[in-house]
Amino acid sequence: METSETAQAPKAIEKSPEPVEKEQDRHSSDKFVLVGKSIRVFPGMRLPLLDMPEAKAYQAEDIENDGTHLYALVCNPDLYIRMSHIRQRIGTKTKGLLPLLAAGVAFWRPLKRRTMILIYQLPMGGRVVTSDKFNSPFPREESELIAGWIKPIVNALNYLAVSNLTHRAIRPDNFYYLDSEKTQVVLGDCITAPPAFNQPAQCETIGSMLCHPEGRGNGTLADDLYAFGASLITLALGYTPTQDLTDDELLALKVKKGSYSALVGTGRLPLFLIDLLRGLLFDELDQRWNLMSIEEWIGGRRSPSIQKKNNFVSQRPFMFKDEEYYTCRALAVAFVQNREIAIDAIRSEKFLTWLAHGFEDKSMYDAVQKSFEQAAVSFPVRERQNEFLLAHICLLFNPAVPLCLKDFVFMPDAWGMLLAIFFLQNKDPKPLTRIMFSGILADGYLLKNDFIASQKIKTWQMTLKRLAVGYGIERLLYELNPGFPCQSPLIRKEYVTEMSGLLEALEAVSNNVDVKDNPLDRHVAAFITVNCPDKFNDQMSDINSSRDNLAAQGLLSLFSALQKRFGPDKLFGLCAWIGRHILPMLQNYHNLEKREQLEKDLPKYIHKGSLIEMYRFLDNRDERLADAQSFEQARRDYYQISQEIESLSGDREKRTEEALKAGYELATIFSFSLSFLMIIFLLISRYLKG
Amino acid sequence: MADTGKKGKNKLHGAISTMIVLFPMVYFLRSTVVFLMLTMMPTLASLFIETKNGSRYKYKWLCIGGLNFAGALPFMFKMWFTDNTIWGAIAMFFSIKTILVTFGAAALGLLFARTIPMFVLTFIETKDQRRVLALKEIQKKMVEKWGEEVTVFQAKKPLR
Repeated sequence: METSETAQAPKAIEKSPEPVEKEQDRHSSDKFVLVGKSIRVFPGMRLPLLDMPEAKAYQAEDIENDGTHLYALVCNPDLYIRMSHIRQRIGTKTKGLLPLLAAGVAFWRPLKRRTMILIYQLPMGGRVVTSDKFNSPFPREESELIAGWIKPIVNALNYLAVSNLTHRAIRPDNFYYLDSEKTQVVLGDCITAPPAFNQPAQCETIGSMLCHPEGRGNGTLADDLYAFGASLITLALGYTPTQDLTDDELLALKVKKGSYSALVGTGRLPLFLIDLLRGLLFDELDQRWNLMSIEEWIGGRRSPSIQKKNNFVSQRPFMFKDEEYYTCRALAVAFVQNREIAIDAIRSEKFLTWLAHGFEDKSMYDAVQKSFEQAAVSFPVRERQNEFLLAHICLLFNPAVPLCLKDFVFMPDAWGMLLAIFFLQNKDPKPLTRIMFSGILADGYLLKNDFIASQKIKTWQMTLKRLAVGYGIERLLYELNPGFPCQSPLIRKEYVTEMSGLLEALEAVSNNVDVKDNPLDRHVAAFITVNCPDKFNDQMSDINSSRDNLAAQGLLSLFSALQKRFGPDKLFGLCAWIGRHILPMLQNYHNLEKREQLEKDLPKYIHKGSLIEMYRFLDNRDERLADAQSFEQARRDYYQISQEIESLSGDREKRTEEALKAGYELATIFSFSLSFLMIIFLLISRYLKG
Repeated sequence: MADTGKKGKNKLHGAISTMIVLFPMVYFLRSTVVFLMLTMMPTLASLFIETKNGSRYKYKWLCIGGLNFAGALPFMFKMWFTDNTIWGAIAMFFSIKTILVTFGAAALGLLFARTIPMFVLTFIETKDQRRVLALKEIQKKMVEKWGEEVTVFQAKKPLR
């Protein structure tokens, strides 16, 4: 929308009063940072024992409520945090969950930028596990263990499941004692990092272990239950039996023996826990215990949890990387682990022969054949065919494995999160859009029997295809990650997560930006469209118009509506900034004198700091209507005058003929008049003579 | 066929009626007719030339005729009240004074027919040029007020 008019903005517009200082920052000092209205966080008072891998802990106090012990976790502003938890959990106290009392964005001096600060209730009993080897905290009595450990955590997981959330940070070192008597066990923070980002390998399922840490996705309750089971083993034994194994070795062991056997190893668990742990650690999703199974177990029902045998076992082995594989499930895991060479194996004749002759059931062979045909039809380039084949066949063999692509391995539900992480890390998101359009993502959902999600992909593809401002990849970024801070380069450091903070953030940066930059870039537009219930479809339509005046009108209309709705009342810097971009709006008036007058008076309104008044001034409906009507009349008049000029000066021959004819007529009239006068004269003179 | 017959009959009736009216008139006004035939010769000559040349506007003979008639009138009056006979008419015409006045008046008519149209043409052209200049000035002011956009106009076509 940068136009010559913009460049020729009146000088008065360039000067603007200082932007409004943020209310919250004004009340903060060097000693503390204010979160919300009454919570002070002290940057100089660290609490290292409560640190999370991606967030440091600090002392905090509530000046309105002295009795509550708090601590703050300061999030890394360059890392994805789980805003959905913040939105749903603030102020709720759930047994088994560390209470999240408040959260807010504030300027954090050590980072020299604004970031999210979480305020939790201080766990007075501290962390349960503070070292690699420890004495098991579990009581010897089964009933005490169930009452003190199992029930609270199951309650917490149940609450999260009902809230459509998952914890995904259940690991031995993330259990706390809420009270100083160490009777109330709670799960610690899970917000400060992407889901399962810092999870140790033993606490993640085989599929999740294969993913890149950023690509594990929110997962489901089953993933939390698995992590709970794995954590219980460590807590029960006082050490992690698999701590000396590398992640790859542990993965191989899990695939070979099953998760329960791999994780327990030679450890000696309390007998009453074995059924529960076996149930929680089933690798087959349909066999893994759910909350109801655990409730039944708590209620005393002890049904043996025996893993069903996999019937899809080949009679002959398939050799891959010098290893013999008898099952498709194990082979899929190996393919994901060795994806550089997996495609050669998939395209080899031996592979199809093994599928054709190794199994009695030929359905897998047929499905693989179809995959080859689908790849050939859908992708003209062999490289893309290979990418599709690898991902598709791995999911066919083992629906629990993640999407396996050349550069990324991730769960389908982590796509949106990955997009957010790409933007946070300033990476080019093109590979992710390619995945979306290739159909591999929809395929991943379909093979995991998630038909609703696979339908959503089509909507997302349509959004991605629209290049207009307010759509495209930026729109998806904010739609799929509710509460994600606006990533506009203009206000990225302001960490804007709510609409109410957007205009303040733009005001804060208005004196430090190049005023030629449009305040409504693609990110800001998408952020508004997603986070504002009004959507502002009309304004967005105007902004995307190819006509500069309409686009400028849309811009001012949108921002004035935002100021009206979210405040603040005075936005001096933003008014001056927007003033540079709305000059084409003067073209709405056809009368040049009116335009000049408006341009002359505009600085007065800019200095008032009200976008609403600016909009009213520039878009007076009655005046515009009168101007348009007068202009139409003027156009008609001009056209008629042109036609008259054309008739007067265009065809001279005709005009000459007309003039000559008139001349002859005049001469004739003159001649006959003389003759008539003569008759009258003669008659009168004869009459007078008698 | 019946219509053609009717039309032919009507024409015949018309011609007969005209003859019935005209012949007595020519007979009773025979001196006047002779005098006018002689004095109006320039007019008749002009009519003949214009008809022969196929002029688009046949006004010249009317212009000559008007003044020619005006020139002839005083002598015709004089003839009516002195010697209103054919010989009187011929004698009146052949006086030098009559010829000079009637033919002079016809020449004046010719002069009018030649000069007045040219004068009117010059006058109209000058008027047109002034009007065009004035209109262009109005348009210039309109462009100053509304910009170049005002020059673009598409007349709405009527709906069919």
